[in-house]
Amino acid sequence: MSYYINELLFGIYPYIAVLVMILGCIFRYDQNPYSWKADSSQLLRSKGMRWGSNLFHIGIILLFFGHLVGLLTPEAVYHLVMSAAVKQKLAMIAGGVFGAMCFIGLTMLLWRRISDPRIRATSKFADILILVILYLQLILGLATIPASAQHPDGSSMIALANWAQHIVTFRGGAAEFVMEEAFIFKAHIFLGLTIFLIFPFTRLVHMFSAPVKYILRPGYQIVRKRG
Amino acid sequence: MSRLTGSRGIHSTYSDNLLMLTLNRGGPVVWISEKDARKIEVKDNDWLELYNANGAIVARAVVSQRVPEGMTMMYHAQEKTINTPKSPTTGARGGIHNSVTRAVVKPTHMIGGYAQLSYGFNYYGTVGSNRDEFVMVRKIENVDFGDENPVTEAAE
Amino acid sequence: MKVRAQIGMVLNLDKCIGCHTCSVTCKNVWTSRAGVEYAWFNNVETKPGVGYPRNWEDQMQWNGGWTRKSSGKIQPKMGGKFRLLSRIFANPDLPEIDDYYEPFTFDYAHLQTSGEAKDMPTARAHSAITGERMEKPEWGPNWEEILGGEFEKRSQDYNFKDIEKEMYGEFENTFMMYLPRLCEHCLNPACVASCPSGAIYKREEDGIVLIDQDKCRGWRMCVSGCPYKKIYFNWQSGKSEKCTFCFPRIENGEPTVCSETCVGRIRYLGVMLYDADRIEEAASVADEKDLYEAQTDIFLNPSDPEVIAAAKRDGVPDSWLAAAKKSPVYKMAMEWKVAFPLHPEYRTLPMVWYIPPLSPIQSRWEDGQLETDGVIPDVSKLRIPVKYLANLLTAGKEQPVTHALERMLAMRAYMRSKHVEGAPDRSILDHVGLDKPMVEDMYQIMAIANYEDRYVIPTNHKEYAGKTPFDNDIAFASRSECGFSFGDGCSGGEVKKSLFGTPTHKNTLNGQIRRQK
Repeated sequence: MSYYINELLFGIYPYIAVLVMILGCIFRYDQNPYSWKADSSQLLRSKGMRWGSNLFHIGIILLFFGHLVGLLTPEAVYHLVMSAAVKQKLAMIAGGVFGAMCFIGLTMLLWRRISDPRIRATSKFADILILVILYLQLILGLATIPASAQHPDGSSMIALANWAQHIVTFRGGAAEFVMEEAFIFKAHIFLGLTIFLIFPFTRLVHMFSAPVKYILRPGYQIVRKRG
Repeated sequence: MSRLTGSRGIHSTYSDNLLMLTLNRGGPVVWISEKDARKIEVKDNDWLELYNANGAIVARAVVSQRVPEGMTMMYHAQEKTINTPKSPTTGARGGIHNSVTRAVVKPTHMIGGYAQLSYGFNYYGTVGSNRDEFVMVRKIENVDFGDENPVTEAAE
Repeated sequence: MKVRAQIGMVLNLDKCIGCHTCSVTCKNVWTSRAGVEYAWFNNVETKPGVGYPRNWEDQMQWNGGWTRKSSGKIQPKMGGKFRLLSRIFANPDLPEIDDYYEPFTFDYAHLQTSGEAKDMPTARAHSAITGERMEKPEWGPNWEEILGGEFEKRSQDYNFKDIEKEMYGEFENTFMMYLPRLCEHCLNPACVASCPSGAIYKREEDGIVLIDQDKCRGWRMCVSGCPYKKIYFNWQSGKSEKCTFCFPRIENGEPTVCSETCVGRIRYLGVMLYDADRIEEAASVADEKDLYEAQTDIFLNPSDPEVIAAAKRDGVPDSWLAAAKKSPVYKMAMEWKVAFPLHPEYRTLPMVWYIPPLSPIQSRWEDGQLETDGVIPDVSKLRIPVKYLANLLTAGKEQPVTHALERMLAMRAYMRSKHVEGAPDRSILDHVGLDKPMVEDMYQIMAIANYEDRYVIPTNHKEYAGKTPFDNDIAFASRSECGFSFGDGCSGGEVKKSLFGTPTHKNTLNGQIRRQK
């Protein structure tokens, strides 16, 4: 891969994707709040939701936080607890388990969305698109496990973490870290960034509305005071 | 056999309107008693054919305890323009309440030549009881709407 | 004491003829849109029957409403906050659309556009969701109308609890009644409590429970939280919707659309004052059978000077206090004790109340041996079992229902003695604890039921309103703006292309079918 394309995809594209996501979300939240929703289809067909949706959601949430912690924890910090090799092994096992959960759930959900006439009829283009992209991304992610196994010393992982940390701290030269990495990692990163790009135009926005505030609500009732 | 009004329409009004059909059962129905239904192995919402020498009706069954044994009834003017399959007996689209009843002439009621006291063959008569008839009731196993083979191409 | 006011409703089931005018006018005004074809904010059920959605009353199945813990505290029956959130990915208590019915429409256009065919064309039923042909609808919002369907299925009705029901399946012992239902606008709403987004709220000024459509995220917990199943998930917009109690009309001093159009004049609207500090206490009483009385205990007497002073302190306007004194709802629920809450055992403290229906005296009527206890017929001989009504209205406690039915019979007997026999019989009244002015008032309001007696609704006050999208600081500023919209300017929610999700369905309630692409 030429230096220029590498720079474009892993040095510049991340910023474009995240910028579109942030501005898109702000615009959507502000201008079209009626469209901001989880878009559940359980009412139309609940069969398979209990396993499918729970496995998918729990799996993907754990994967997300795994990536967040794994990629963004500075080397010096986790070295206090474990070596890079151990961390990589941990990441492979956790990612494998959560990935498998998510894979089973997502397979069920994707099958349901495409094969069930009611769900198919009420699916927007973006609903199917995002499921397919997540599915591909998950398969790519699971496929990186054997690739990682070829570098048990954690060198690949360190390179990817360096890339991520340089990106989020706005340091130059981030793309060079992944220049020599295996294609499968690059494909996974690229597709991941693409998910950020299309984020505001899909139902994924509902994750920003995760109702943690509910736990903190005093009592149960809400009475809207008069002016 | 039939009743002159539905519960919320007068004569034939509203019986094919979407909301009214939704608040009913979405098409023609006849009421039969639970005992009769058991005898001919009919469940609520099964397709029925009612026939006699005059013709045949196709409608779905409403099995109900409020109908006494041996009686069946149909609300007035549920048209076969709404979701009605073909009648196995006649081979044509299932009929309506008029199909099995026959209006008869009662000449003494027609004296004077007033419009409301006139007679139309099998359609309009002067005797109030003309809509009570004996009918045979049976379940339709193979429902055929007969709309798959139009003679000419549909305009739509 | 914290005084709050609410517009309550009473439905006099004794006069309901089951014509569905309320349902139709409500539907035309509020739910004639794609995604809520199946939703009837107001529906009328024939009882006994399992209702709409199927078996909604049985909270062993749906887990709606509240449950009282051994500590004496109440919590949503679905579970506490953590448990509820743990079910957010797949809600096990959510009804499926088939529990309501698969919405359908007919291919009316085919009647005009059909080519020449052997048989006359017929408008086939189509699913409003998939657009595919249906051989026949399998269930509807009023499937059991006038006892349609086998008794074995209809008698799954939860209100047959503790009743030997077999005999009621016989032709000779048939009984039925109509039950119009809408959102109860509860004092202790379980939908509000189970909404994780905090999008559902109860308005302090008039007690109406609403869903903020811009804040709703479609977690669908309210649908299962509400024991009356009166919150509907719009499968097209992905948000929950519910009866609004026609709040724009109420604010204007007008009755709700269902009330306004009721041909039987069965609906009444009026102000109720209640003590907001005691809601939890009333909803938490140990014995379910005490819930009806507990709720009446927190209603406040609008003529009590102490209550008036407290109400003024708490910001209830004078016009509302004046209306509260004339409230037909207060009279029926509190003074005459003829109206009851629907299923108080759900502990939601509902605010749409019902007057139980009288029914023919069945026993030995034909022999001329009508049983009376001297003055009025024996209530236990009514065709509708009192226990059935008690299960519906007082958590199974028969005494209050019997008392109400006796008073209604007494009112009839007294007025008959007055108008037909020309000699008012006071002894009838003494028997049920009524006096002349009271029974005359009952007759005026329940039987004559003039418009202004049925609807005593004070207009909303400018100073009473909060800052919401609907209450502008200066009403004048919004004089020529659009009315209702869905957060996207003046768009009435019609189909349009959007980067954030173009709707998949057009409205099919105009009799169009959804064409397959």
